[in-house]
Amino acid sequence: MFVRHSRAALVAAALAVAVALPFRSVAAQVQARPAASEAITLYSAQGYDITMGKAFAKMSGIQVNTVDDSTGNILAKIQAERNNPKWDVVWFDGDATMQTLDNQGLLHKWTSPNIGNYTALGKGLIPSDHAFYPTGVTAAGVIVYNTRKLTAAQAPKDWSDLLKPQFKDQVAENDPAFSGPAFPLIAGMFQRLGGPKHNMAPGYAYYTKLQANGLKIFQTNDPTIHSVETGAREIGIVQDSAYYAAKATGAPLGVVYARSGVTVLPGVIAINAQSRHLQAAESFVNYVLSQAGQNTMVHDPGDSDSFYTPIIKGVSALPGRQTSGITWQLLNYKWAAAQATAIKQWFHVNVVAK
Amino acid sequence: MSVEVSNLSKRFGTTLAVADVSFTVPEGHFLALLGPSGSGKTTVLRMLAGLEQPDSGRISVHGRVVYGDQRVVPAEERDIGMVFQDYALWPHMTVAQNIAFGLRLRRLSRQERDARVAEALALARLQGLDERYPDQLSGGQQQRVAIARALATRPGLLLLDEPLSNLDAALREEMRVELVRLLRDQGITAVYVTHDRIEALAMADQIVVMRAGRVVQIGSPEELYQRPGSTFIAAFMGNANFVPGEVVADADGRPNVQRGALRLRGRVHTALNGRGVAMLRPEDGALYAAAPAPDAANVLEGDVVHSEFLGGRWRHVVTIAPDLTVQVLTPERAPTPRVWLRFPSERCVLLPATDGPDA
Amino acid sequence: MALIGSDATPEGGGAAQTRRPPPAMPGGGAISAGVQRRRRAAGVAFSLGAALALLILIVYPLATILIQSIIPDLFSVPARLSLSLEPFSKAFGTHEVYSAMLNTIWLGLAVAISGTLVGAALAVLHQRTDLPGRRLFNLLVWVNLFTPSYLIALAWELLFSRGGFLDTTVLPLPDGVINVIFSPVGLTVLLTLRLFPFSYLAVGAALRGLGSEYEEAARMVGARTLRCWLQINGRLLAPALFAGGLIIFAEAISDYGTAATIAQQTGFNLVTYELYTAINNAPVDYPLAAALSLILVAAIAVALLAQARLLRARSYQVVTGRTRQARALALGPWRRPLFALVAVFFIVALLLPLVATFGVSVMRNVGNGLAAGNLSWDNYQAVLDSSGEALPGLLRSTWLALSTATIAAVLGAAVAYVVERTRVPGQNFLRLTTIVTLAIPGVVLAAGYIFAWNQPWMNNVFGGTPYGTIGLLLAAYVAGSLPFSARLAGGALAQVGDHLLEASRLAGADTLRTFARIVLPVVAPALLSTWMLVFTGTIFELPASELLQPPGQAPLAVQIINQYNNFKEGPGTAMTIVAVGIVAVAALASSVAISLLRPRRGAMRVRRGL
Repeated sequence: MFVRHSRAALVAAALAVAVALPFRSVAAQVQARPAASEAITLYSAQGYDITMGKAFAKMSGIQVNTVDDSTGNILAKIQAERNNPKWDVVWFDGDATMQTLDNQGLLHKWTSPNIGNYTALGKGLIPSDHAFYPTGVTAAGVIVYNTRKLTAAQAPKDWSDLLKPQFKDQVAENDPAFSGPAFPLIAGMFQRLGGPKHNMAPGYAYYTKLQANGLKIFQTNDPTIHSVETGAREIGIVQDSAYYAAKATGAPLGVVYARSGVTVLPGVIAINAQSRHLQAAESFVNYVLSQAGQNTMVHDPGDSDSFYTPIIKGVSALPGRQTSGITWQLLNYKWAAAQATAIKQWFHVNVVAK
Repeated sequence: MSVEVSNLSKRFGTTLAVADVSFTVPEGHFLALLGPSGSGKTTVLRMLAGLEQPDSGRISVHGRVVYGDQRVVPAEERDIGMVFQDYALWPHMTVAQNIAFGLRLRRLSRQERDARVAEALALARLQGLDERYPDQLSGGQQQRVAIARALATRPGLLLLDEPLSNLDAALREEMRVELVRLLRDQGITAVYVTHDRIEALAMADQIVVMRAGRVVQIGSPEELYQRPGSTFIAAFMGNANFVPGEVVADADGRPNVQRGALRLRGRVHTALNGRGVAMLRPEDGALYAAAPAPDAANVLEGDVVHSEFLGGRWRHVVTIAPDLTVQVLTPERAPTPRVWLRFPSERCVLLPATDGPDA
Repeated sequence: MALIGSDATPEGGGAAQTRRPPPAMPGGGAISAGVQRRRRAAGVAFSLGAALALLILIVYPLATILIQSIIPDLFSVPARLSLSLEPFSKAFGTHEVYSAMLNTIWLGLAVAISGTLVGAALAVLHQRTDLPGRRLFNLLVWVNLFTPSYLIALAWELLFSRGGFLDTTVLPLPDGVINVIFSPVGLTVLLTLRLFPFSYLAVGAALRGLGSEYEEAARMVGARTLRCWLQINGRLLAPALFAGGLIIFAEAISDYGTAATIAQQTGFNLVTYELYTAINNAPVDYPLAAALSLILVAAIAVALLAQARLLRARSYQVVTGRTRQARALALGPWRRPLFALVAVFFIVALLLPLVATFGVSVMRNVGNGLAAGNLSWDNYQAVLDSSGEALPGLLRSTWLALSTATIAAVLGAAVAYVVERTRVPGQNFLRLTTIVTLAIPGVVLAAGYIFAWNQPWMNNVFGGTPYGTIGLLLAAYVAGSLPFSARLAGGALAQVGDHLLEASRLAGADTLRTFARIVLPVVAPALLSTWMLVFTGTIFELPASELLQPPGQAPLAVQIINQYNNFKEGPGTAMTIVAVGIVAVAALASSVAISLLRPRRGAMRVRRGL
């Protein structure tokens, strides 16, 4: 039926090749993987996840197939896969967020043999039902300033300083709808200001005043820190690992850990309750909580996420990372998870959209 | 019969485009569907081709029912060739490829196919143009390619939709002759749609005159010209003089058309009643300088108001009455300002007066 | 029927010539019944196949998401089939949603109108005038397609923000300028710059098939050039204008990346932002996302109705097999100003973002600017390091893009042909799906793919689910591109005269053959444009890549975004520039290949440089 012209044949051949090639690579991969070795699927938002996966595979022979994506996308996938989940291990920043997964009964509850490795700070972050484990902490928000515009003396020392007139139109922050650390930061602020009864009014008041003082919202750590780096804004509130990563490339930045406290943002790891590879998954988590694993994480070259504060004994943070003089505030994440929608909604309407 | 069409009807929305059309085409004949625009002739053609579906009726080609009796044969399988008004040559193919397209689908061997293409090219006088693309051809050449393409598959029936209308006058005449000769030599049955009566008269064996979706008359060219069934057909087939009047019986009992003192005799093909019209063809009239014999029939007296020389003949416009002028074609000038015209009664046709659309 | 009365003479031979008897064997050219049956079956299979492809690739996955707006617990554990309007009440519960809807529609219209005008003007300048440098401009339009939207958004931020590139390096920008840039107006301009190529391609393809006869006819009756041009050709180009414009509208209202970045900073609330908060926040709310998507669908449905009304019942068929080459319009005194205008346009649309991106890719740290000590090729070294993830990702995405582009171009033409020029049941529904899906953000369709192809019962039937395989990612890419390629092919197809197709049918060709031998070659130039569009779009495609990436096999765009997220824009921009290079090479290679493959085609001739 088809023309015997060489032209048409050439086109048809190109077509066939173009369509077949991806499948060829799939077939090759399937063949390459030895049938006997096990594999686990990891959904992670952490920068060092692929490095960790490779290191673990080398050590244990268990393959780690990683989907490296933003926390939001990971949540979207997990929710869409509800009735037929494909993931074994999930790993991202934010215990409040992880709690929502626990609330839906998705997580495998177990006690890791490495639970004794934790520092005091770490121990305080382990949930009572052992549905997930903290792997390291960052500060959800620290005050970062442009050293060319402000000296250390001029920089604000605490959250309340940001309301001062000299910092009008000079402060930038992340959007909790887009940025993982932003919500714990804001929830932590509400918690800190609200007292033991979790009064919401002081929190609303603070942010209303901050917005009136010219607070600018950027989507994530990246543009927020950019605005400070370039001097467009003098002050930014970002996750501290982002600050350290920018500083390492030579940005003119300084940091202040607010006196009244910074909210702990733990990286958390959990296992799917319906995983078909529970044992392999557990051994991966054990590796993450071991000194060997932690050392790999801390030293992942050029990775901003590596600037976290370890909570496993015997592991030191990267040099240059401030470890003393920090008042850590633990987030009541169960309460935060319950307040999440309300706070985010209010924030969007009253701060972002204004 | 090569083609039999019975009671074809088609409605587009609320408009009745084709109403109860029937005709037949014998093997090897050339049938013209003639009518003004909007008469439904193209719709009938497209229904024959299978490009439109009738609402009711029956079509059979070479004894095979292609529409009707619960059967619908799709256009691809009717073995019918068609020449479109705009030729519809495929712009990305050469002349040879255009012609060969249908042949490729018929599982012919390579030699057979090439032979047929060469044959088609020769028939249509397109030798040497086989590697050209349509946009490199003149209008006449494109038209011939369209014909060659339609004939290459040796269809049982060839349909043509005003194929000459895009050509200039001289070319049109030339192509007319060529087309008819080609079809005749090959013995091809053809149905040809046109609004040009000259084409239809010159080319067809049979003409179907259509108006407002209906068939108003079927006949040979001579028949339609000389014996039209209505004033519409008469005027459509050529220049005609119409003299309206009362229908009265003469001494022999035959109908005459009387207008004042004037009495006109002629042939009658359609039932007459009350008012009638006498149709006189200009070329049938003879011009006299003096009154012919007093008992001569169909004599009109009047003044010449206009004469023009047509290069071989004269056309004279003669006023018979304040509201009646008659044209006549004669070989010579008007001899006097006052003339007498005489139309032989066997060439005159008496028609019903037009009060509405023809039945 | 008229009566032939008493004087009728018997029917006699009409024409005076004698008639030869017909040859002994007439016909001899009929197709055998068996072949006819098989061909008819092939034709039907072809039509059904195209329709089926649409259903499987688009309708089914989309349905699994959209149906959750009225059956929210369809995919819950345990599943409940109860109907509920709760997602809609949630969607319309806040009053932000109403301002979001208004803003979205306003934005869509503004971008559609300006994008269509810009694209059409450039297409005319390229094909029908003697504007100097028009071949170069054509190439630049393709380069515009290469640059992904998140790149442009980032570049704009780098360039125009206070303390950004221009402000510090070139000249301080006044507040007014910055406010305009980061405002709905600036957003409109940004989206116009990104989306105008759709109109350019559609109108360009239409112009290629349009001869000068119509405008020449107008000039004969005294119409002056510009008005004549606009009145005649404007109307004839209407299908292409609307094809391009509708795509631009749909893309603008469903734009996720650029709009959310810049719009969010301007306080210009959009429906896509509401959608984002529904999908990417814990707890994820798909029923709400479905309800919000239906709002976008409603917007595009209204646009579609408007288009149908405006284009109704007119013939735009100008490629009839008699078309001749078009004549170029002499610009005269307008040459220089127009050239300058177009040059400035491309500088702003392309050069600036590309330069900014390239600049960032060779900097060690953005804050320190273009200082000598801050420049290096390190980022490129990291990208091309074969032990890393970047190189496999690049190759993977390149092959995926090649396959997607080829499949989507041909399938799109087939779908357009079956839906527009043949009669299949459910035609209108299929026609609707090709346009409605343009209004659905890519992330929603991608999520639909998870729901559609991850169902437990598939384990029993297929021995596993398609979800998680690279084949499904390919299918999602094709699904995302199919509406574009079908619409663009449809625009070109609208100009193909019915008679060309009818002549093919009468020659005995079934639907499949007519498609392959007549339709495809005639719309091939449009297909080629579509191919390049899909290729570049797929290389940088983000939403489906993020949600459907097979574990361990991340496509390019995902890696780029992860670099940005992990604060490594150096490698991120470097990867982008390398990918842009790949696409440029592909464009060059394909244009060379096409000029070799294609013979002279008269009015269908392809110009050099696409």
